[in-house]
Amino acid sequence: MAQPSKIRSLADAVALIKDGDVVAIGGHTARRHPMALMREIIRQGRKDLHVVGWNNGIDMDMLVGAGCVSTVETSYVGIGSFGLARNFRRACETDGLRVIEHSETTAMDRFRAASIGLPLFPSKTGLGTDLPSTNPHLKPFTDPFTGETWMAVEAIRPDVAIVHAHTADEQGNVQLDPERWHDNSPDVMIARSARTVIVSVEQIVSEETVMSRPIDTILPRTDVTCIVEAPYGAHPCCCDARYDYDLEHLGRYHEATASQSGFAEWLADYVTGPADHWAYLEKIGARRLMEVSMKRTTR
Amino acid sequence: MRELDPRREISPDERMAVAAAREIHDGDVAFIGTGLPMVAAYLAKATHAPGVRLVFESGIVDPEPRELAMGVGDYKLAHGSTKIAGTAYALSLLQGGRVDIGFLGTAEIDAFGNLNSTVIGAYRKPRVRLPGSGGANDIASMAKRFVTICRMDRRRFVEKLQYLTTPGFLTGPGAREAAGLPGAGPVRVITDLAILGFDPETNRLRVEELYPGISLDAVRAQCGFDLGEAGSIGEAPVPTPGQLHLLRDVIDPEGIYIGPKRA
Amino acid sequence: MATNDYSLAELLTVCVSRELEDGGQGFIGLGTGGRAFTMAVGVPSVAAELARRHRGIDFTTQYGVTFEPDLKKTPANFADPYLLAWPSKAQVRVEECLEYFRRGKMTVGFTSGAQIDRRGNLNTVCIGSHDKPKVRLVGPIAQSDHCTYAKYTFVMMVQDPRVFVPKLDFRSALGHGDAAGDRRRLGVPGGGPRKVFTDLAIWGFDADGDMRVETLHPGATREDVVRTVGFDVVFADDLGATPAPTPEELRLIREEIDPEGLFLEARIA
Repeated sequence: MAQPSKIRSLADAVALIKDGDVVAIGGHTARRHPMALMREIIRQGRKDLHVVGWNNGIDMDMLVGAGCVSTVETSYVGIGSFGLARNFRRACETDGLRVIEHSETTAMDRFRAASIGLPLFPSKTGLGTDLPSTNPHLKPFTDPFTGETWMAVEAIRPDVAIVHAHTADEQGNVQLDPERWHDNSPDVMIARSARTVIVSVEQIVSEETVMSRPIDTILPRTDVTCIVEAPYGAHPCCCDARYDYDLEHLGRYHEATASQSGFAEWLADYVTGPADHWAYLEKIGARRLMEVSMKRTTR
Repeated sequence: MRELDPRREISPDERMAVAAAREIHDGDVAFIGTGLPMVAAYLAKATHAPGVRLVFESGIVDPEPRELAMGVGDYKLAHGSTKIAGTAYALSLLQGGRVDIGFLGTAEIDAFGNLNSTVIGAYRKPRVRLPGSGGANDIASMAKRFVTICRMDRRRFVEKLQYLTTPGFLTGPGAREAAGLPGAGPVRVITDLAILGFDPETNRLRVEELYPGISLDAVRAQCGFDLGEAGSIGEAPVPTPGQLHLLRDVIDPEGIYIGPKRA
Repeated sequence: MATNDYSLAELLTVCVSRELEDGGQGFIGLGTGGRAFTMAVGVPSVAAELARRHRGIDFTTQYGVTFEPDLKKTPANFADPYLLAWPSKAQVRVEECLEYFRRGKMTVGFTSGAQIDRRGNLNTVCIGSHDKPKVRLVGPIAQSDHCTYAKYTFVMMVQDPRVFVPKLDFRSALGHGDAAGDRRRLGVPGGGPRKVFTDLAIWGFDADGDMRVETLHPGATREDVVRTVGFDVVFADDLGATPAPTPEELRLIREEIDPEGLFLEARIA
């Protein structure tokens, strides 16, 4: 077999992202965001990114706060039960951050259309509201069959998609555990819409492991540019049934972001201070990681 | 049944949960987010609407969770569910017109039930940047009817929204149809002071039921627009001991979403 | 070279294998039996594996929803329970599997038809008129997707005047249309048919999209080709002989890739 290895180091993978790129982010709310990749984006000082997702939180807020972002495109940026996303707020309220406004389905439908090779996807969402005036990718049109008004949602082709999953083999076949949300379809659409696809995983597994349960492959290697091994790579977000949200850490983040200087300290502590992902995990500590892991399920 | 603590007053959250539960009909497909709607939906299912089909935004259908989930993405929510299908599936039920009722919160609401969860202040230079639509616009655009749940005050109930994130009746009768929107739009606004509905002629908000001890003037004082002439105003439902038992001892015993702390 | 020390299937396998490109992705349908199976499934399957082993290229095979199955563990029966248990890299949802065509990821589609014309257009719908057909066929299945979106297609068929016809009874998949530039004019993204592999010859297309014989298999003559084709046959100026398999290629096929003849001798039930 002449199938090349797609495994790259965290630093090499993130080096594929250029200043000014449109970067699509997998996961949603505080679930399975590719946080290790995003921390590395900050370490490498990427600028002027147009970040796209469908429902976001600490992932985008952190990148915005670190000055990596010029445009945010999504339906939601908030820190769950802790409240508003404070870096995002500051950037909008004082720095004029550009936001392309979506509702959840229109945000997904941009990826959906691209992932299946369509130029647009029809929707009813957004009609009659201010969303189209703050989103150039939503335009009303007339259904040629019924004469009804619909909203066209334009396909998006991100330069790079970053996604976090459970496992992959060396060749880049990406799997989720059988115990999962089954909430993987937007991540698959996000990956398939992009030109370069970087997937971080909890574990690299053997080819035989992948082949013993092919139905759990969410992205065959043909959809993937490279794989990065990053255990707890979604922390402090949850990762389906492998580990839960780290609410204590999210709370600390939210407090720290109350001020620019507080966030700067937090960045130094948890992002730019640790040299790499392993140093980050050491900083979080084995005990804390085990605590969130132990809450796998209530079953 | 454990004796209810007679010293514990009924909190506004508990009242709102009971009022929200009442909006769910038996057999409805109900689209549920975190917080009060989750509590209200469990209450409805445990009482008058055992046949309600609960669809959570994360794609969980009809769970039987042993603990109250901290959010719709909390894996605890999956326990006992009949289907774990993913958000895209849940949203596709909205897109396909198969959701009967959805619940929304909001930072601003106007007289036609339009909602703003995007910005306070000018859009380009907002005073407060809020999270954005999330799935709110999808619910309001596509569910057969929707209910808004929020506290009442003049900063929230405004004459003019600073950004229209989520469509209620837009500019009044016929406007939803003209925009191409399906669904009947908003049917109820449940607040801590009163339960409001919409005048079928004008599509404007009006007071329909008051909680005990709250006057119509007190409601008007907290509303930034004219609530019109009140017709016959009823009394909002007072939670029964049975409902309080379910809320306090079964559904949310730790007081995560409704509790004395939040009163 | 008329010696018969290799089979037609082995010859075609080697020829297809040499055409496959590094980094490519190919879609192989499943389902037919007998000789059609050998042409449509057996040859492309073994060819892809041969290209990997012999030429060291990276090529992704897709059998409908199944990606890169382990050929060594091919079930001897393609009924669903066996197909599902076939170890592979991925089993995607059925609508996803065709989306690889639509978003332009498919390098080559292996396809076939009941009729083909000299422009490589195909018919799998009916013989006779559509409203009152003499023979109603299966329908276009995914053939139109292959021919619309794949970077190019390889058509695998057995020559017969009823199959290689001057005019299709129904055009279910676009080849090179009626005239040069038709695909571009219609806005069809894929490249259309690049080669037609038959029991007698390998055909290619000239710059205008007209089909012509490029090589004759050992033992086949110009007359054999003319006799089995219903339209006027054009032979390439540099008409050659289909190059024979090398001993190493034959060894890989027979000893390592398909030792039981499951694919090339259609021994799969």
